[in-house]
Parts: sequence; structure tokens; C-alpha cells
Amino acid sequence: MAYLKYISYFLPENKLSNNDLCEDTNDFTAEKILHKVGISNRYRVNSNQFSSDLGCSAAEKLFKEYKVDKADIDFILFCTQSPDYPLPTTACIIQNKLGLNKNCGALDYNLGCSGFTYGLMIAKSLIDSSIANNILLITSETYSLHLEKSDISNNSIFSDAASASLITNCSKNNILDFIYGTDGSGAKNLISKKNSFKNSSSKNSFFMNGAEVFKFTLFEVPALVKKIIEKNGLNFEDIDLFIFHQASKVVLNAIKRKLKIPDEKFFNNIIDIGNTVSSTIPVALKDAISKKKIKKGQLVLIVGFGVGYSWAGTIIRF
Amino acid sequence: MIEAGQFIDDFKEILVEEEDISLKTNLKDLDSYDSLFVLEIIQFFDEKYSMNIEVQIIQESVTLEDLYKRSFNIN
Repeated sequence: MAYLKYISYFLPENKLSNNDLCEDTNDFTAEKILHKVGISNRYRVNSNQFSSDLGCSAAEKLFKEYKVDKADIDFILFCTQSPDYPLPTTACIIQNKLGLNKNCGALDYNLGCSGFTYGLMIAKSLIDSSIANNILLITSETYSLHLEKSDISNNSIFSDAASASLITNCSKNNILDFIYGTDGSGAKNLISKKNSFKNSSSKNSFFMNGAEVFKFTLFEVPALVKKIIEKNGLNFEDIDLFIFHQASKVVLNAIKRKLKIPDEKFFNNIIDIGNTVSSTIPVALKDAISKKKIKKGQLVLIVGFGVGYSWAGTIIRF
Repeated sequence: MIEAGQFIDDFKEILVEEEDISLKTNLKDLDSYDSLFVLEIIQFFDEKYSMNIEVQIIQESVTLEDLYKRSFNIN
């Protein structure tokens, strides 16, 4: 049965503060960005760092931190929307960089904020169908490469990072049942056309209709949470901690208010890290564990939602 | 049906700090007006009236009266 065993994450060295963001503009102030977006710092890759590099760094941290024998890895799932190249598959590059066995399966999948929960869903399926036993799930994003420097709004939100998780075949299961969904009518509301075949324009290549994405979140996510709890035969009160995709302060607060989640059951670490897209949930899980916000036996509900629109959520029993 | 006076009171209570707003108030003149104000209005309509307001209505409303009339389909 599928067991989420270990999580590590990697942040690039470059920190971008609110003061840095406001250097060349009079339209924003550092205080206003913090007040509105709820983020103090976000991270940026160097000019020679790409999603495979971040992903490998996160995986190496995982191997070292938990003394994982890399020879045991028999599948890599790599989630990114900023692959090193259109082809080959970045997961294949990672297999070689990490020195993993050649009998290791490797695939990329293109999802954003729902990427980690989707990855868990795929990993669980691969283990439950006896296809793989030790799955390395990597989420890695360099959204900064999609953004124009002048786009202060999106630069204030998005952050580069990677996570690596090990999901193993175990006698017990700690990844409960999923609810997932898709609404492609929202594709136009969060889109990057940079270096694409359909529209190769490099100008205004990244677009987010914040109001429409917010509406999607406000009306879809609370219903999704209720469905996840119901599917697992639980009650709202049974959940010990809620960890949502760390989109922005306004989104997180809106979900918290609508679901009436008490402060002690709501985890939020966006202020120091920013929105790392598919890595926000594993980064938050890791931080919550480190801060002892999650204790053994507790139930943690996780929900990823956003670009696509795409969403997926489940409950982890720690 | 929400009366105009009630709408202004609700709007003041949740969204703005100014005391002297009326239906003629230009939304862009409010201190709290910025790019995230639209999101706050969406949340306001959901919380207060359980309404899923169209983003276009907010974006096209110049005054509070526009927002009130278009949201509640008042001619």
C-alpha cells in the first residue's frame, strides 16, 4: 500500500525582497505588497539553474536527510511547467543526473498548483497496481522564467523551488482517498505563451486574470474540501490540520473564512517562501512537521488547485 | 432584494474606511481601491448575499450605484 514516507525541499539562494521588487517603480511599496499579498520574500534561480537542477537538489537533500538508498528508486514522477527543454523528458535527465538505476520509470507531467496532490494520486496508483515500489515524486518550478521583470504583481507572488518526496510500498496506507477535477474553460485565465508553438510572442507572455482565478478558488475549493472529507467517511472536526496550496494571502484567508477553519487547524507559510506552485503543499507539510504542528496519527487534509483549472485533494494520516 | 441603504451600510462595514460614501461614490476614489479590490468585492457578495457576482460587472461599474443596480438587476 502507498505510504508517503519522507519530504524534503530546496530553495535557490537568491532571495527577492519586497524592497527589491519596488526598486524601479513608484506604483508599489514594500509595505503595500506585504499587506496585500502577504509575502515578504520569494526565491529566484540563477541564470544557470533550471527545473532539473532544483529537482535534483531537492532529491539529493531527501537522500541525505533520510539516508535513502537511491538504488531503491524504481520510478520518478516529475511535475513542472518549466521543463529544461520541450524534449527530452526532464525526468530522464534527472534519472541520469541523480545516478538512478536504468530500470527506473520516469515521466514528466505538466500541472501547476494541483501537481503535488496529482503526483500522490499517480504514485498511489502505481504502487497499488504493483508497478512500482519506491517512487520519487519531484515538483520543481521556475515560474520566474515565465515572467517579465516589469510584471510586479506576478513577480510578487511566484517563487522558484522544488520538493522531493518518497512514496513507498508499505504494509499500511497513509494516503487516503482523492477527489480531483478539471475545468479547462479556465485555461485562458492563467496562461504562459512564452516559447510556445501556438503563440511564440515573447511580449506579455504570462497572463493571470486574478479576479477569475480567485472566483474559481472561492467557489470550488470549499466544496472540494467537503467532498474529500465525505469520501473518506470523516467529519470536518476529524481533520487536525488543513494545508491548502499557498496561492496568496487573500486566497488563503478567503478559504479559511468560508470554511470557518479555526486558526490552530490552518497552516500558512506563504510569508517567507511565496507561491512555489506545485511545491507549496510539500513545503508546507515539511515546515508543519518541523514546527511540530503535525503529530503522529493526525489527519492532514491537503488540496491543490489552480492553473488549468485543475484541482485534487486528499487526506494524509501521519 | 437588498435595499440601497442596506447595501451601502454592508459595503461600508466590510470594504471601506470612509464614512461618507453614497451611491454616487466613484469606486476608484475609495482609499481601498487597488488591483485586489475586485477580489474583495467578489468575497463581499459571496459572504453577505451568497452571490457569485460576475467579474465583468465589477470591472464595468464606475459608481457604487452601478455596482448595486447591475448586481441586483435593478433597472
